[in-house]
Amino acid sequence: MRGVIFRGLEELVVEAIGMQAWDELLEAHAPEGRVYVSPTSYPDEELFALAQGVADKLEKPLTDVLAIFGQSLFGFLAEKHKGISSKFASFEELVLSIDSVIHMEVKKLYNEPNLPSISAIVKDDKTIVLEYCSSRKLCFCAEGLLHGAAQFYSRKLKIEHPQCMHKGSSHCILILHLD
Amino acid sequence: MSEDTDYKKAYLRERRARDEVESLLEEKTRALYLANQTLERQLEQLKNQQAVLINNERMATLGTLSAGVAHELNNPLAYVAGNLESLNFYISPILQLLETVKLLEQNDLRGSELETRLVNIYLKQRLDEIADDLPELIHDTLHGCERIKAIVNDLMNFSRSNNDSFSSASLKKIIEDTLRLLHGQLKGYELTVAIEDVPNISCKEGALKQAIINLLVNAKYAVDMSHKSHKSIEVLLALGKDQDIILSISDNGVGIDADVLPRLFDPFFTTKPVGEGTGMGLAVTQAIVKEHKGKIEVHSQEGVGSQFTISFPLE
Repeated sequence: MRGVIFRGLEELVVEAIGMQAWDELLEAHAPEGRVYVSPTSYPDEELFALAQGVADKLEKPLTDVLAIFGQSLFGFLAEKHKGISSKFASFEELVLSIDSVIHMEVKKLYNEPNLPSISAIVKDDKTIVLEYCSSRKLCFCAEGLLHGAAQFYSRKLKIEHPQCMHKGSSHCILILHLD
Repeated sequence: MSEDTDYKKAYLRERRARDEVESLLEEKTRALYLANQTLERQLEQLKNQQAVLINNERMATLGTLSAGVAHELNNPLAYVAGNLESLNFYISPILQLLETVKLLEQNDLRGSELETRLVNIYLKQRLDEIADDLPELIHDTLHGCERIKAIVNDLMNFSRSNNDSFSSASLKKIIEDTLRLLHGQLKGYELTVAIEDVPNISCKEGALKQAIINLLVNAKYAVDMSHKSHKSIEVLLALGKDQDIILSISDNGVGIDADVLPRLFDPFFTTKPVGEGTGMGLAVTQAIVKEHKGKIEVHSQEGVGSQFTISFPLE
């Protein structure tokens, strides 16, 4: 997993529960002297361990933490890459461009080979059906990212998750209901 | 430790430093990515241009071959034409014989009249000679047609661009086909061919034939320029020592000036008089060899001769 995601988690933890908490998480779940930088890749397990550490500290389920993290991560990435986020006039435009534009930009910057596959179909004015598939199975984080994106465009969003990789499906289906 | 302390300030400063460095790095990475895309596009264009250049050179080689091929076609054509002329003479007696058989069938000819007529045809038209001659005439004519067909096939195989995709092929056969194509041009030269059976390689047949023709035509030119009475060209194919296949084409021609050797494979470089060479032959040959992940080397001594050695990696 690219360092930029770890940096997003670091930002969230430091803001939410403090610098010392982040330091403790690093001590417990990362190799000694670890400093995360965006372009470098780090083991996926390290991110999962850190996220689990946050869940333990906050005494919340991991899925909730991942959802909060995803929401916060969107703001972090949008701020860090204003040039990309400003390309999209609306939430719908952004969601429909995840694979063709956003992941393309990620490839340019980080040469990331394990990007999730995401396809979106507009069902009607207020509904988008999104298919998510990733070996990392971070669908809860994806949900959080979508909530973060909706917040960014001042839209109200509800997500149904009727099919999930965690329940044995080959891919997740997320139905996005917009106000 | 309180987070309002200097420690927190230091952390935030370090984080900003990371942000700035990352932002700078991302800017450079994006620029590098775009530059790389431009380079890839240009590389694609160059590859297309090279393909056009190789095809043009192939057409030029075809022009060089045409005189020799015309001569090669002329020989079988001459005896096919001669044989057909003889067959034309044989039509009349055969038709007379058929007419007689027809009359016999209709009961219009009988007894001595029939006998006289048959004897006349047999003796006057030399039917026994025709009977002797016919099988050989037909056999030679068919052989001539087969020869013409083979030459035209070789030429078409060489010129066809659909040969230009990689497929497993025998270098031995490619060399033999190429030598057959140049048969007319290499008459009168002492041609030594030692071709071993080597494993097939993945190659573009048409392109390899072109490379071999270029080297053989150059060898012939070098030998002609030397005005030696003994004109020798040697083609060798064998397994190399380093998991490779070695193809060597050498001649006892004029050799190459040491000053010229470093520029030998440069595009548009030629030592031939204006109008006689495109200067692309060896450049294209080298490009073809490289495309096959091979290497081409030349050893030459003025007045003694030259040897071009190509090595192809074994798969």
